[in-house]
Amino acid sequence: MTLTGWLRRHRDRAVLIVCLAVSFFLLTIPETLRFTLARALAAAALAPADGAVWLGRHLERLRGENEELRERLMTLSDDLGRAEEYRKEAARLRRLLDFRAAESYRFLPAELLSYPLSFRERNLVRVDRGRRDGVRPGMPVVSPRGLIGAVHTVHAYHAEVQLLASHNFAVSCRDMRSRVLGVFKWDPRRGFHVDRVDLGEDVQVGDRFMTSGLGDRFPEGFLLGTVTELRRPPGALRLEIQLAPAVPIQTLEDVFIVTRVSEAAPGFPLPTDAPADSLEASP
Amino acid sequence: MRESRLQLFLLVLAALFYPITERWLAPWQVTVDWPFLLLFWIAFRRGRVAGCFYGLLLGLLRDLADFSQLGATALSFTLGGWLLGTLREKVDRENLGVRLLLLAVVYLLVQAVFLFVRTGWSPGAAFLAWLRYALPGSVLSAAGYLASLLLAAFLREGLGLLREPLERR
Repeated sequence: MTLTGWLRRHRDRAVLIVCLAVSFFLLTIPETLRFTLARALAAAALAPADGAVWLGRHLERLRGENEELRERLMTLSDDLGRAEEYRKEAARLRRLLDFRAAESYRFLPAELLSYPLSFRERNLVRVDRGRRDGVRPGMPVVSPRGLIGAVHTVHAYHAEVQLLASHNFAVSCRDMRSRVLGVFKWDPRRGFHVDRVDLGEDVQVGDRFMTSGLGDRFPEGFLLGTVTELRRPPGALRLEIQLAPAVPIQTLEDVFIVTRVSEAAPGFPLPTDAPADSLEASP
Repeated sequence: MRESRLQLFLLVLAALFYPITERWLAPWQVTVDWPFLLLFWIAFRRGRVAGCFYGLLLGLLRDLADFSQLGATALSFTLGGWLLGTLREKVDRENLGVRLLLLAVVYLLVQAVFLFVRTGWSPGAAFLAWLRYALPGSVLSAAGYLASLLLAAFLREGLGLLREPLERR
C-alpha cells in the first residue's frame, strides 16, 4: 500500500497525526523561537483586528481634529467678521482724519540746510522747501515735539525759518492743565518765558504751555515748553514764568511746514498773498 | 436561517469576544469557554476530521494570547475535537442532556490535557487549583452552550415573527 493510498483510506488519522505533530512541534521548539513564531502568527492573525482598531482610533482622532478645526473655523470666521468691521471702521476713521488733515493742516516735510551760527544774533534756519513747494511766509514750522517757528523768507527752492528764540517773536499760549492764557516770548536776558499772566492765575512748575490758536498766527495745540521756574516779584502785578523749550534747537532734525490751515481752524488766516521772495514775513 | 446556524453565528461571535469576557467577565476566575463551545459545535456536527483541524486552529488562536503556552491549547483542543468527533457516532445526538454531559466531560478532559502539558506531565499541587476552575468551568460551559441554544431558538422565533407579515403581503 502506497502512502497516498494509506492517506486516502485513513484520512482522519492522517489529519490527527499532522495536527498533533504541529502541536508537539510548537511545544518543543526553543522558547525564543516560540516567542518569535507566536509573535509572527499573532501579527498575521490579528492584522485585520489591528487594522480595524487602528482605523477606529484613526477615525476617532480624525473626528477630534475635525471638531477642533470646525471650532477654529468658527473662531476664525468670527475674527474675520470682526476684522472686516475693524477694517471698515479704520477706513472710516482714515477718511475722517484725511478730511481733518485736508481741512485743517498739511504738513510738508522739510530738511534743514543750515543752522544759525549764533542763536542770539541770527535766529534763522534754512530749509529745503520754497515757493515751488507752496511755502509762503508766515507758515508755522513744527517738529513732532512742538512748535519751532515760522517761515520768514521764501525763495524758489528754499526758505528761511524764524525760530521761537527771536526777540520779536510772540505766540499766544495756554496752560494745558489750567487753561490759563498768556504770551510766549523770548529775549536774550530772560530766555523763554510766558508774559501777561496775572498773579492770581493757576500756574505751577511743570505745567506745559501750548499754542492757543488766538492771535491770528499759529494753530492751536502745538507744544511750546514746560514751566521750570515761577516767580512772584514783590509789587509786581504779573507772574514771571520761565520755560524750557519743547524743541531744543540744538537737537533739531525733522521739521514740517504747516502749509494749509482751514478757515475753521481757530484764529489763523492763511497767508496767501505774500510775495514769493519777500524778505520780511508777517512778524 | 436555521437554528443551528444561528447558534454557530452566536458562538463565533462569543468566541471573538472571548479575550474580553475572560478578562473582565470571569468571577472567581471562571468563565464560559466560548472557543471550546465553538469547537464542540463543529466537531459534533462535522466529525473528527473537522474537529481535529478546527481544534488545532482554535487552540492556536487561544495560545496566541499567551506566547509561553504556544501549542498547549492547540494540542488539547486537537485531541478534544477528535474525541468529540469520535463520540458523536456513539451517543444520541438529539438528546440535549447527553450533549451537555458530553460537553462537560470532554471539557474536563481537554483541560486535564492542557494541565499536564503545561506542567510537564506532573501537575502536583497545581491539580487542586485546576479543579477549582475546571469543574465550575465545565458546568458554566455547558450552561453557555444551553444559553446559546435557547438564544438561537428565541432569535429564530423572533425573526420568524418579523418575517411573517412580510410574507403575507
